Amino acid sequence: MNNKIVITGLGIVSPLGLGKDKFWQSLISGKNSIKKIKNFNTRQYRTHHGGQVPSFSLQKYIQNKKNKMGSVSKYAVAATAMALKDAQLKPRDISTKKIGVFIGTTLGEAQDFNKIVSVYRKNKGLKIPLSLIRNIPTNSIPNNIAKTFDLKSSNLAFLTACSAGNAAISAGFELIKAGKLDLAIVGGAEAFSLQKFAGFNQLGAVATRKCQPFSRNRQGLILSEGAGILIIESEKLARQRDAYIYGEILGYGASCDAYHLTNLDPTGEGIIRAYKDLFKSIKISKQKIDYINAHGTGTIDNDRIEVKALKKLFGKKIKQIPISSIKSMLGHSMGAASAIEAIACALVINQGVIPPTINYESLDPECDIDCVPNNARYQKVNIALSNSFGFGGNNVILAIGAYSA
Amino acid sequence: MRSFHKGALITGIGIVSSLGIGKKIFWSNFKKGKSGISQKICFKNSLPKSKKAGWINKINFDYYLKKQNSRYLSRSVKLLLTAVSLALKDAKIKNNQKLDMGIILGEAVGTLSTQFRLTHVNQTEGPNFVSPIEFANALNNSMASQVAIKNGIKGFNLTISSGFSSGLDALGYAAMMLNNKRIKKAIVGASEALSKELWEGFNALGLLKKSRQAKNKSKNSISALNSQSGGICLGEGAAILVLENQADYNKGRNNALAQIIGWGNAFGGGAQAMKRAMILAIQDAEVKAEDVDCCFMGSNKDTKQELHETRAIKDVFLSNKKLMVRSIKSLTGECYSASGPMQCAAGALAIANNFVPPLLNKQQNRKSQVINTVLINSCGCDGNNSTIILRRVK
Repeated sequence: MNNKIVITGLGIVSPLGLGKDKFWQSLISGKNSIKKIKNFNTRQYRTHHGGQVPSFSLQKYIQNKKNKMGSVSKYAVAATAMALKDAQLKPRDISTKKIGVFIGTTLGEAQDFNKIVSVYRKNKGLKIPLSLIRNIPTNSIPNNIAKTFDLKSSNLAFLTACSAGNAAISAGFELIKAGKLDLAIVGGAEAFSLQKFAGFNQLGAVATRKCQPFSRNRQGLILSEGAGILIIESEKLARQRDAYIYGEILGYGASCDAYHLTNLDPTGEGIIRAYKDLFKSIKISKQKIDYINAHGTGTIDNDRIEVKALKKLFGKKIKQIPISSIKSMLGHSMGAASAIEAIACALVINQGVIPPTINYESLDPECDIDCVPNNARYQKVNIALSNSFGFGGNNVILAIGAYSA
Repeated sequence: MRSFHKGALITGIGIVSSLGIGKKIFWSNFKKGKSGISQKICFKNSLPKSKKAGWINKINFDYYLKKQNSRYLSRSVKLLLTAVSLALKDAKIKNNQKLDMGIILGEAVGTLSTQFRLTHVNQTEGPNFVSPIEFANALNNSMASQVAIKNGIKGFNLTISSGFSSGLDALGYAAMMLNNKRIKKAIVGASEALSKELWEGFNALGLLKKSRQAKNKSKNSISALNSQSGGICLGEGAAILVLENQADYNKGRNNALAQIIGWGNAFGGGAQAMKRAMILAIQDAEVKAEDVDCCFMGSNKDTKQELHETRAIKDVFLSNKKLMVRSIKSLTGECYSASGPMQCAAGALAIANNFVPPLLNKQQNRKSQVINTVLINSCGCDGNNSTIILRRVK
């Protein structure tokens, strides 16, 4: 039970680029990926901008040429292929080990659901392509990963809205710790959908052009898409196969606000409870935290509540901890966001560079933290936390540490 | 492999099903072999000719949810909240004990109707007519969040999906979390409601149709279901179990019905994956196949699946001549992710009452007998298989 759980592979499909190297270079150079949306007509929506994944061919990553996967599965499968390659897992390792697949998402293949409703309206239920129906259950995403890579162990979809990626990573952590799995493919995936655009449009939570977390003039979040996949395994297995180790998953903390379906508890109590759960489980003093990757959506209330909770937790030390939001560059990819942010944390620890919060213009007195404004910072980080807070008050905080044998 | 589930006690059951509302009525009707399948279901303008379903037609939500504003809640959430309130009452959980509880739900199609309405409005009337509340309710985790909000539960909150196996996987995951001492008490289960969209989706997949092949092949199977099987009979309902960590359980309460001692899941088609899930659960529980007294099947009149499961059960329990094979789906219909927890509730009640009811329309021994260990299967047409093992509390 004392065996550490380590990160040995990273795969990413994001608006900042495909693959960890391009993603990381763009991240530390403060590149903004938010552009005018080309995938669909945004005329009726408040915002016309988002973080779009550049078009790519799935065949570049997998052999299977016949697939009818939805967009979310395509992103997840491509990111998994990258992560498996990065982890240098050989086909023999894959076929002989117990490998679980745990993927977070919010609405699953909502694009396909949109097509189904469209066909249904026109044909009154007739002639709906079966391939579309099969894509609708959210677990079709981990299933598609399992089918593509011929995996036969546990595979589950985790649905905790915007904290789903961290929830999925936590599940892999728990199941490997419990000895039920040797290795897990964990992360999150999300694709643009009209339903999400409509919902956030109506909630008044979106900014028109750019995402400006913690900045006084912030307007809201910018929607985006992508997938982030991590390969996690027991330290014993990683060392046996001489794998490169990016870092160690120290643990996680989780809670529910039990307050509102869309709003965070204004007192920050839910976030504090998740942090207390984290510190109880990882048994590491909060004084040792070097970096926090904020949830930092760029909405007026959420950023204030997040900072309020962090101030209550860390007191005066909070100003000494760099807290940046990479959503300023990527936008908010919902179920994929926290997984992508976990990848960023692993790379921060690995590379000793903290990515910035871009588009920062002026100080909000209620968000007076060190948000690493506009420029990346070289700094050694031993322990990084990744905050994620989902609709319905689902909070999951992940702790990643530098690996030492 | 060492076991991780020894500590998860089932201390409360809340059931809303076509077989009855509440643990006592559900068990009484199950014992009698009474069917909850209604013959007259028809959604307005729906296409399928099948009219059979396990529909809950007599339920006064206002009675169960009186203190909660249920006006804007979907049917699946209302079923869920009703089951949660029944389970908490059954487990005698006081209000001040709820705060740190975990909520772990399985979900296969839970918010589908809400997603359909939202998408329909967005397409026909435009985004400015989409209700923000409808959007929040359409998200897959909204059901678990509603349980937390309505009951003031602030612990770990999770929604898991593995298709039809989601409910059993939620139970297995919760048992593991309890044993790891991440949580002390948890509300676990699933809720699914029938809807026109679901009805038509299953019809499009060809799963509601009867086939000649089905009638012929079912004679060779264990036939946990009606021997006239061939095509899924849909159902609806919610099943919630209150799980508690054995280490923190006050034995004076004396209300633990059974304990979860094993969980296994496997992916892949055919009998092999089902067999793997059962073997993993048996290993996890540290029991032998011969120790299992009763098996609740996961098949749902999908003939192919029933044959695969039969073959898997025969392989795993080759030397177990006393094994009784049952399924409550012949009485409740296929309730998707809620079926697993519903079968789990039936298994716990079978252990607590030392009685395994007969199959529907089958003349079998109705005498009481000692039931110590029950295995529950769940298998989806997408290849996800899950197994839970229950044991008498020691």
